[in-house]
Amino acid sequence: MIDFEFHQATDLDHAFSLLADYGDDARLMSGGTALVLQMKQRFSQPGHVIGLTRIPGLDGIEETEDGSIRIGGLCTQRQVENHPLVTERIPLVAGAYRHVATPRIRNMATVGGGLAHGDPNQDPPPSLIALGASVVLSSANGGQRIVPAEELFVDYFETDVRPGEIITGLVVPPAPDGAGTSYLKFLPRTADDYATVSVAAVVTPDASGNCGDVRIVLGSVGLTPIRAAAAEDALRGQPLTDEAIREAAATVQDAVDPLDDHRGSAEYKREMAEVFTRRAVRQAAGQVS
Amino acid sequence: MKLENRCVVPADPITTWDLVMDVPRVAPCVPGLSALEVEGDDSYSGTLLAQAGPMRVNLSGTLKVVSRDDQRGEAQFLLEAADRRIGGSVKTTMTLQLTPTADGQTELTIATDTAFMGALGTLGQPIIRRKAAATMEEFAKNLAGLVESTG
Repeated sequence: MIDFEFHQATDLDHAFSLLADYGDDARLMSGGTALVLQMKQRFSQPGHVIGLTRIPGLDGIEETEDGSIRIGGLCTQRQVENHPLVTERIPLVAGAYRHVATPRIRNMATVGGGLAHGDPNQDPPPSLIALGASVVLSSANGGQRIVPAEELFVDYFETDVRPGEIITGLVVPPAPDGAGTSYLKFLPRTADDYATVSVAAVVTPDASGNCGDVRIVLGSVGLTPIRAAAAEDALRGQPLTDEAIREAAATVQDAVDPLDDHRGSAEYKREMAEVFTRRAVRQAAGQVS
Repeated sequence: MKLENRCVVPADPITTWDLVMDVPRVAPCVPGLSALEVEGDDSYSGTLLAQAGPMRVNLSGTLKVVSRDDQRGEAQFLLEAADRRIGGSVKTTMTLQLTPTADGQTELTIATDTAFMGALGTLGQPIIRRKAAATMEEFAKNLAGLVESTG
């Protein structure tokens, strides 16, 4: 491990002031599950680490006036997967967080930390994007920016979190009335691995029972989570038949950009992206009412 | 890991060849490359930074011209570099080929074959691999800019 100075922020203003003092040489840490690993492997060598876990008021989960669920940035991922508001109102999100690694990690890793990490292999982002979630970014002097989760991930491990900002919350709207949802994670190796391919789908029927709207987002197959726009366009307005779903899912192969690695060749992952899109959309379509 | 990238350089093949084989001159076009020094005939040292968000892989090493065919516009380079902090290294064979285009410009093809060694591990390899394509695209853009600025 490299030498660094640890600063425990006591409140948000203190954290912003530390960020201002140490700038580029500082990294924020909440659960530390990602940062400590990067530091141990020396990919990241900050001179200062700012601890966030003692900042009060950022670990709540509540319903907002418009029926969305607001999750504090310092909520642990375990807290999210088990909270009744999440399991009942946004079960897709509870299920996605339940897929992250192991309970030991989920007891430490936080919602804000996971989003800021920007790893395209993570489980929650596809479901959050599919539901149209927004990320709350706070900065000094009461500054706040709301960024759609879809726009947060800008490149490989790179996010739209600007210098001086901290992710303080996540706002997730429930799926529309009558919609079906699904998150599938293809794990050919071990249960706690990153996905070879993951797919989240939200299918909303129109008045005649056809596909009124659909959002499909894939993880682990590109620099960021990838929205399958062509597949969505192919399905909108169509009857939710196996054939329509199959045709739409086939377009996913052109949308993804996987790497060859120990989880499979790029070609294999591309094919699995199609297969798991088909299955996820079919599963979501089977739930519409 | 094998990669192949192509770009069109807005100059004829002879001008392009002279430029790309002049390593110190073309070096500023390579994103993340710093401290390039001439070590000997056709041998150079330098440092290449690959960055993904807050994570960095800093590869220091040598680049040698293994073969060059001025007539055919083909050259082969060997790049050997290591990040001593992380404890891993790469060995890359790079083949460069020029092809004239119908409109008097030059298509530059750069093919690389890279072996990863040591502790670059599960985080380091994808960073280098994911950044390689973007680096090549930026290199092509910078090279075109250099050609245009030098006339």
